[in-house]
Amino acid sequence: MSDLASQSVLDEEPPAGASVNPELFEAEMNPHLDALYRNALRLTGNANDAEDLLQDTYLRAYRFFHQYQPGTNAKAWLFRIMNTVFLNEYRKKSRQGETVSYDGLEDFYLYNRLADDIAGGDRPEIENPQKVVMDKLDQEVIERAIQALPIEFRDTVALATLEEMSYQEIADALEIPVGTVRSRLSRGRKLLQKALWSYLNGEETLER
Amino acid sequence: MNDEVEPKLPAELLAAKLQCDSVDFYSCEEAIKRLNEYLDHELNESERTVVIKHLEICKPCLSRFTFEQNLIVSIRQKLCGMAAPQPLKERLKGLLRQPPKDE
Repeated sequence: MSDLASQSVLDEEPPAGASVNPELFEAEMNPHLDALYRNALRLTGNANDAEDLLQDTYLRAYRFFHQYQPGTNAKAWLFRIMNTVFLNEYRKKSRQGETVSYDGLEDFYLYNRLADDIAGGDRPEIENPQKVVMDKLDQEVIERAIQALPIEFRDTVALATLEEMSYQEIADALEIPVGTVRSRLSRGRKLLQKALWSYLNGEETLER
Repeated sequence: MNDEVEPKLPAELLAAKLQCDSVDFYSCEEAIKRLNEYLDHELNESERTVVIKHLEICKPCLSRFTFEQNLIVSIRQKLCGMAAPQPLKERLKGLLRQPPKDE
């Protein structure tokens, strides 16, 4: 019962006469609105679609609030609805992310590139190259790099890294096993570092 | 690549290890396998302790783990300020209070 089959959110009509107190709904769900909006932006890649997706998700959640069990994870529940709505209705017109080469995926990608630079004497004058990189990673570079990830990696990396959701919450939200969360996170963070590095070096697109 | 040579244990840690055989020390490879779970606070207490013990004796790993940690914190700080637009929030509030439309 506690587990909402996501498809039902799209197909079933709520039982007649199911009425929800808006204040009750808002008290449970509104603390997650900002995170939900950020997620919508990442999924759709633009503010207009993000607003539509958030609104669809929110109203869908309201209609199916009777299926939500108070005290369970509201955030994961909302993200799961958003994910389902997105996959069914928005995915076709959204940006898919660039094709990222899986070659040369290593642990500590950025760290190692920096170490290479220092060893190669490229930036001998720089006292703290790590800090220099952190400073150069502005919001725009990071957003581009995240958007460039294939969508399954983008979701998992963003939810863990930006929204600080636990692996179990992410598994619930995306309806994938926890083991899949782990493997996507491992690969996705490496891809992210690779993308960050190429954008930091002024490459316009990722190598294919 | 994990081609780092396993660091030699300093004498005092070696002694501690001998005294306390129940505590394992991870190799670099074993510690790195747990990097994400370490960063995301997903390790159980005992695994976390063993990773930390590895970082205490392995400078290269400590330096790399610290870098990853800083990178994540930095990315989070730079992107997580964004909130849903206020007009959208107002609109949602209104929509909940509208009589449902027939579809």
